[in-house]
Amino acid sequence: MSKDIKEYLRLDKFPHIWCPGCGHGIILQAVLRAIDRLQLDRDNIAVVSGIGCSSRAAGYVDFNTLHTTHGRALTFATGIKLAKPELTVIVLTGDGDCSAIGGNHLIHAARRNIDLNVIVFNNSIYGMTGGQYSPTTPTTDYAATAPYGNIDNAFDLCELTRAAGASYVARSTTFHAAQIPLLVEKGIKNKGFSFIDIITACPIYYGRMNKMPDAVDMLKTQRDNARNIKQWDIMTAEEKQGKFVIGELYNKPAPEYTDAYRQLREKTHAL
Amino acid sequence: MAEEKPAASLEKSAKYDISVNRAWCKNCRICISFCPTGVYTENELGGPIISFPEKCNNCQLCVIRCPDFAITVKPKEESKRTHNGP
Repeated sequence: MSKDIKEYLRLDKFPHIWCPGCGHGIILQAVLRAIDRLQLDRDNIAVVSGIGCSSRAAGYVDFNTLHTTHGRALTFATGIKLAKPELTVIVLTGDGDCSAIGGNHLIHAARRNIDLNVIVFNNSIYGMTGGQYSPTTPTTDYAATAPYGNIDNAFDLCELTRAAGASYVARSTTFHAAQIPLLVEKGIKNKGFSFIDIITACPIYYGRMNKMPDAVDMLKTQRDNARNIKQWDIMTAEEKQGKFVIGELYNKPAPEYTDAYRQLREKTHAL
Repeated sequence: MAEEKPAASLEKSAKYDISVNRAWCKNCRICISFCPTGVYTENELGGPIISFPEKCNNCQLCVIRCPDFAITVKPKEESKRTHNGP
């Protein structure tokens, strides 16, 4: 029998600061379920986060946690993993934190295929600072800094990390909350860079500015626009307009960075 | 009231113990809207009232979709069922 997931929380910090209807709590719960299913030792897990709404998550979980500077969660996590390769390092980060401020770190961590598990709380907005558009805000959507509609093209973070060299890439939404623990579990088991993009709702900023001020409406939108990978493969380009694919998008084991580093060290010590 | 519980008259017919932590719930209405069997109804603040606990089939969807860790659904304890037994 698995444990009650509340055992993994710092209960004195609750109720959490996230807004009513914010999906971050759903993702955090799903990540804890994945850790619970794997029966990992709590002392061998390091949770690293950057700055933003999503990064508050590290403060609520009872593992080794590190709340770092803006965009630099992956750099600190790389340091932890290289110093202590036996730890399971989980990076909880937001879309702005990982793809804008820390965009360079994301592609280089993926390029190295270092054994980090990155879970992106992708709400398409900078929630903590008042709703500015982020690199994942869809074109023509509204934000505090795009009152007449956003003209930027959005990043597809899964395609980006896959192209950069990640060995496991998956996407889900908070509506498909039952699926998230399965993806996170596979990501943690994967030896290499695991990137899991979770589409979540920010009803207070993103939703209010895009005619979905209600958490229920936002979850319904996720339900209507998400397509399973098997269905996605047989869809035409026209049908794919405005929709996105969910599920396990890429899984191909590749040589891992800390292993390569250990081998290099052994080789140079033998000289 | 810290814990939202079904009314005593309804609790007898229910197979599962449902409770909502009022102190953590932020009235987002996700549990009310997405319950497949319609266990919850809305109170004046938008929060859940456990009106039909007997409809619950322990699918746990409200628990995993609750952003505030506020809902728990558990099978009823055996000791409670046989409390008035011989």
